[in-house]
Amino acid sequence: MSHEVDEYNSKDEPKETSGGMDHSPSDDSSDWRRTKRVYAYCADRLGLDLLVDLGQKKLVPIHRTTPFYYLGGMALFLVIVMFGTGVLLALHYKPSADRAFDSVQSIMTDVQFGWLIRSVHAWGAALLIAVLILHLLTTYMMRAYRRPREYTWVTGCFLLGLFMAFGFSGYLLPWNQLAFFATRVGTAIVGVVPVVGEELLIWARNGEDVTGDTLARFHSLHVSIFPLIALVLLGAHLFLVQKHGMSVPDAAAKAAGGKNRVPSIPFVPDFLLRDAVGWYLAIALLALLSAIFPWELGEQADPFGSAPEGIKPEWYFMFMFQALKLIPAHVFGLEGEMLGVMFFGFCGLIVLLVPFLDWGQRSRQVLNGLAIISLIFAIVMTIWGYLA
Amino acid sequence: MATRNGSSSRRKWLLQALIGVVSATAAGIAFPVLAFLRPRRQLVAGGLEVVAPYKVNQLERDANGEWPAPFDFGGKPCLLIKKPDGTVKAFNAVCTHLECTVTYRSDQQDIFCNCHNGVFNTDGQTVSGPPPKPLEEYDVTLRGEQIIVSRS
Amino acid sequence: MKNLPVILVMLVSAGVLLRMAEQQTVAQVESENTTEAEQKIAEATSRKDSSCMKCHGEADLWEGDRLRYFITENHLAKDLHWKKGIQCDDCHGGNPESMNFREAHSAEAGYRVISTPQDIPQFCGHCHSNVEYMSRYSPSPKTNQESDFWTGGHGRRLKENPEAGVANCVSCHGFHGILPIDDQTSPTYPKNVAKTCATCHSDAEKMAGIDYHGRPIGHDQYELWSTSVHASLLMEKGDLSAPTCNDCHGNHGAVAPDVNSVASACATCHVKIGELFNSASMKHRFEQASLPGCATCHGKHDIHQPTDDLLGLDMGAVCASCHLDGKFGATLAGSMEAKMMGERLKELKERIASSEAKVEHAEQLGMEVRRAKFRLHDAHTALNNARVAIHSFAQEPMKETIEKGLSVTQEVDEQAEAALREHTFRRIWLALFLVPIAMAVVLLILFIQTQPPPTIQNLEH
Repeated sequence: MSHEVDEYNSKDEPKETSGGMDHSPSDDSSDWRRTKRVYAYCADRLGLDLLVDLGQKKLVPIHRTTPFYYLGGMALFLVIVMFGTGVLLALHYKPSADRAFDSVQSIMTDVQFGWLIRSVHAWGAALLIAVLILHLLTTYMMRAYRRPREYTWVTGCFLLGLFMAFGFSGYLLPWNQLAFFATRVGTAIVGVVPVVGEELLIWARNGEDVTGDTLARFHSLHVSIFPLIALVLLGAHLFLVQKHGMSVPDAAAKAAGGKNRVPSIPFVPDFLLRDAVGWYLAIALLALLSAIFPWELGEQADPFGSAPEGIKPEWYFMFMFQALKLIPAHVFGLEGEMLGVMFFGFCGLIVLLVPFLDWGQRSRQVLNGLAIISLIFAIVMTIWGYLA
Repeated sequence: MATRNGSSSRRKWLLQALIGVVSATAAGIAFPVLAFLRPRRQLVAGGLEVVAPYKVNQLERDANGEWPAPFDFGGKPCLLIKKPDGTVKAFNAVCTHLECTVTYRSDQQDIFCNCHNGVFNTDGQTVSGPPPKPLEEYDVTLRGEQIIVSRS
Repeated sequence: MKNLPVILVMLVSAGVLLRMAEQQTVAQVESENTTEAEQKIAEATSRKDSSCMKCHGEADLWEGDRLRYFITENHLAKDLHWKKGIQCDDCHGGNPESMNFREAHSAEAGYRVISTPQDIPQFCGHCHSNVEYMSRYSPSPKTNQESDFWTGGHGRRLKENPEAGVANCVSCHGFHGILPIDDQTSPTYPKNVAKTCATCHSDAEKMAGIDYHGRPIGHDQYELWSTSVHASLLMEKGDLSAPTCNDCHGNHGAVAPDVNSVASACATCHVKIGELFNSASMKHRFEQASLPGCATCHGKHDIHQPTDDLLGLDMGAVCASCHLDGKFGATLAGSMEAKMMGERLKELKERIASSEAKVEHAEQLGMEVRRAKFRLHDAHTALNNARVAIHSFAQEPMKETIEKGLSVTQEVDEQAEAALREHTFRRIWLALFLVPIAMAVVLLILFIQTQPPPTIQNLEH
């Protein structure tokens, strides 16, 4: 609560605790004394001092690209929103092929504010992936993945993959036409992986085709297995962020004349307050989107009906979907699909290994070139996918 | 020592206002969440298990000779029939031919579709006429005189 | 001992070779056995007809006009009779075991001659009119085809004049390649019946000069029927229960339904309407005026989806054609009844349309109104029932179903309005929810501004 910043020497402002609280230790109101007593009681028994230490130590450098730091906090906030709304949805959702659609329809019509919770969950997912992608790109641009933060990057990459898997598994749960066929196509892609593809496909679908069994599997992945993995990875990621502090980009350090000459603010509460502004804006955006564009329900899946027109995956899979659609059936005697899947797998691996590939001016130029090309590729493919 | 000036009292005011407004937003979030936790409206015991609006002893023709009309069962009309031996059965009353609603003819012990003369027996099997498939049957559970219809 | 592996390999390979040779001979013997057995079976089954086919299956023996006597098993392969094991002589009679032409085709041996088309119904009836024989194939066989045929229009004309060129059994069923009616390629498959009839009945030349009940028979029936609601149901929707020629005119005893029994033909499917019409006074009026029941208003072959415009006194209304001019003793009072019915229908239709619009509006606003939409089916059903009730030619029977439809539309309206209210509620909720959030954001920014500015600190803690 009382974080003294000795270096702080403002002329206009009175010397303040950067705790930012109204009460300073010198304020001897009874209120404050009571708070102090409660804190002391808890700190003593719950080891709060460790957390407080961690909070106090963390500083956030202020420079031109500081706004990028908000993305991580924003992602964390959205993850919390997703956990919250997800837990709520699970209270009304019924994971079986013949009841899933009805129960989601019921959530949208009969359950009070069901439309809101479901729409926030669906819009939140889209927003989360967007924020994560921006987080990844800005981290790359600031080269914040360098020693000693390699594993912060690696865990982050895994988290992005995991949240995409969250999105993919969650897309099927309403058991509507679009989701059913998108899942069929999406899982079929797994099947073209060499050697283990077929086995993987059977495993992913929990059978030879997308059925109620697939729904059961996707549901269990979505609500229990993925969240557990997410907690572990997120814990590791946050621990590493906390451990290594915020990375200062080269340009900012140079502009300030040395890394240690970059001005900074304490994370608690200054940066947290700024984060909170973003979070409120995110809540407002989600409420706005949900109230005005409630997430669609579609038509109940008919496994034996023909595929509906315009089946499309979630937007963040669109570039892959479109690229795989365009790839010819056979390239150099190899199956086109397989080649495409291998290519995307390889791209993913490169992204994951960025911290270990950036070993000099030359390799960085190659990486930057690749990054720009793949970014343009993904954007073009996504737009193409939506226009087609 | 910190001096108390305008700026500080402004902070104090801001902080108090902030606490109030943040509480208001928290309440704004808590309200839909608490409302969401309540059971859904309209439905008694799930969309696929409904207590029929008729008791067993009400399953007979009324003064006009009309059999109790089908009731809404998850968006589909559900026809209840009672055989002479007292067995109660429930069917999806949508004719499998061209989706007219069928009726029960208790005197002839069959289910009849007015539109194209389709006849089903009391097990929902087609007896004559154009219907291509038997009627969809629902499960019936009796709790005293109460009829509970469910779809597995 | 050094050579041991080599010897072992040689021994093993020799063993394998021997085993393979053995298997080969066994296989050969087996294949010889099967061909022998097959031949025996083939001989046994074609024993009788082999003498028919010896001549009739010989392509060189037949030419020109007589080529139609050239029959091989290939010709018969798909034939329903052939598949059931019925042989040449089962239909044609004669002595299949004789190789002498005269003996084989002699009357003593029971050879049945077809000299004119007149002989054909009897030829088929030899079995098909024989209850005892037909019972082998069906527990309650139909054996009235031949007798039906002679009572029908085709049969009567055939009896009068063997060379009339009218249809007989083979015209529709074919002969050596007769297919069951449930075979999709059969000319008697429901979807093909109209086309089969049309081969003659759409032929202007063939139909020229033929009168039916004093009127020329015409050749436009198929064309007219093709535009009908029945044809589109049968041909496009594939509803095999939809009527084609034979469903109204009969199968073998094809005639046009009698003027007064048109309604009975229609009522085989349109049960409820038939019931209402039969008990309506209008039926007797029609009978008195020799008007052909249903066809008076709905037409004969080109029966289209009826519209509500048919009812009433306006342009295109069928009631008007008699009631306005007082034809056949039709009264203006009767036409008022029709007008009232038309207005009731219109009311329900308008209410349904307005409910639909409301539901649609709610749907466009992104509200979930599937249930209300589904409920609208009931209103449509009520409307259809009301349309059925028109055929009682009185307002009263229609009233109940109209009222039911109106109550459904009211219910749907309520649901749609509830959805619209919910839509408004969501916006109000959003606005209310955004107020504290906007305030929180503003206050947070103001508060952040009161926080101390950034300082230079050691970032490497």
